Amino acid sequence: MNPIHRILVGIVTFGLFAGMATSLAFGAGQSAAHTKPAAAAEEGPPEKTLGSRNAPIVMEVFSDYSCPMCKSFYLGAVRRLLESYIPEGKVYLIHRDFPLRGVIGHEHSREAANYANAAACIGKFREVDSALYERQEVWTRDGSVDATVAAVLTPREMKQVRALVASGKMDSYIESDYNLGSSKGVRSTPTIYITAHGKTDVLPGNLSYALLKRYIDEQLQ
Amino acid sequence: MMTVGRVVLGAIFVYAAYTKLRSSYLLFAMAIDAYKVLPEAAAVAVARVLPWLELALGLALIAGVWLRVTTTAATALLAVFFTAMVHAYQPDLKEGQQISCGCFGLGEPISGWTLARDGTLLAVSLALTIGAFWMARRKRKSLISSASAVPAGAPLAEKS
Repeated sequence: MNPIHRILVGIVTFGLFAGMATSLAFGAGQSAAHTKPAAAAEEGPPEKTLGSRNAPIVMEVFSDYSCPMCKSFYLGAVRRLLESYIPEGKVYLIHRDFPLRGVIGHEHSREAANYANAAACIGKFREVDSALYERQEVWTRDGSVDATVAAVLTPREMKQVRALVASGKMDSYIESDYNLGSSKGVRSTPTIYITAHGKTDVLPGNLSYALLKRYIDEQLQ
Repeated sequence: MMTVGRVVLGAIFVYAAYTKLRSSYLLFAMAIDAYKVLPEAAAVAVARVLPWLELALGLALIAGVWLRVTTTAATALLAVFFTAMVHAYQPDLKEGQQISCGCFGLGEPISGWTLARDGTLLAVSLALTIGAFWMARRKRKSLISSASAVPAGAPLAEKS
């Protein structure tokens, strides 16, 4: 290597490391900022959360009830987290609505999110959340969101949910979640943010539970 | 032109490695696993090794050492990435429904843009590989011709 070549390599290497250091510092700032909007949005009326707020791991899931990968994530991972990590107070799960717009097969996404938010307002989020994912193929095809929700609620609860949906207030909660997701750079569903030790990472949507479990265990150590 | 190309490509490899190495290898393993082309154990093994390979390759490209080997390895690696992305991309789905590319960390779904970007990188890498072999051949030819110009029996040290 001649001296000029060496100098050039030195400059490029220095530039790369300087860029990395800047990016690292900026990334750390972003991680801290991620946790704040999550906490702020929790002050809104519907509690679409599972587990204890004091859990060391916070999972924030931006989801669309019509999305097949969101269903897979719910049935394959959330269900299993609900058996151990969530009741043990290790994971706190926050659901955020991110109904994809203009996508074929997602025509009832917003309606489903409306019902889920209304159910959350009366403390029945877990039941309705589960029912919407379980019967996704049915209501996305025939639009029977109301009947799907009615199957897991009492007539009295259903009356309250319908009144809340009709009030139009739920749309503003969905919009708030959607805007939060957009501001964080959410572009696909499910997008999962996992915060542990003050650091936030993004997880891919169609992950395997075995790898998620290993990751959670690693974070808990 | 060749120097600019390999330094840029090297920097991209170093950056790609950095985005993976700053987080747990399990996150990258999840991204690989999402492609559903490797068994889970293999995805974990690749997630442990690949970022270091990208880093070494990137630094070697920037330094300009073992050019034929590094450019060939970069082209082979990019060809594998591009093939996997094309295989996973479903044109009938919207961007919001695609899996994460995993190219520079997570959260970027496969799209027309990511395919065009990786395709361009592959084309650049291929051009650099051809260039590296062509330059080596030209160098060898000029050495042979200059050696033949030296009188028989003359010491090699006197050539230059």
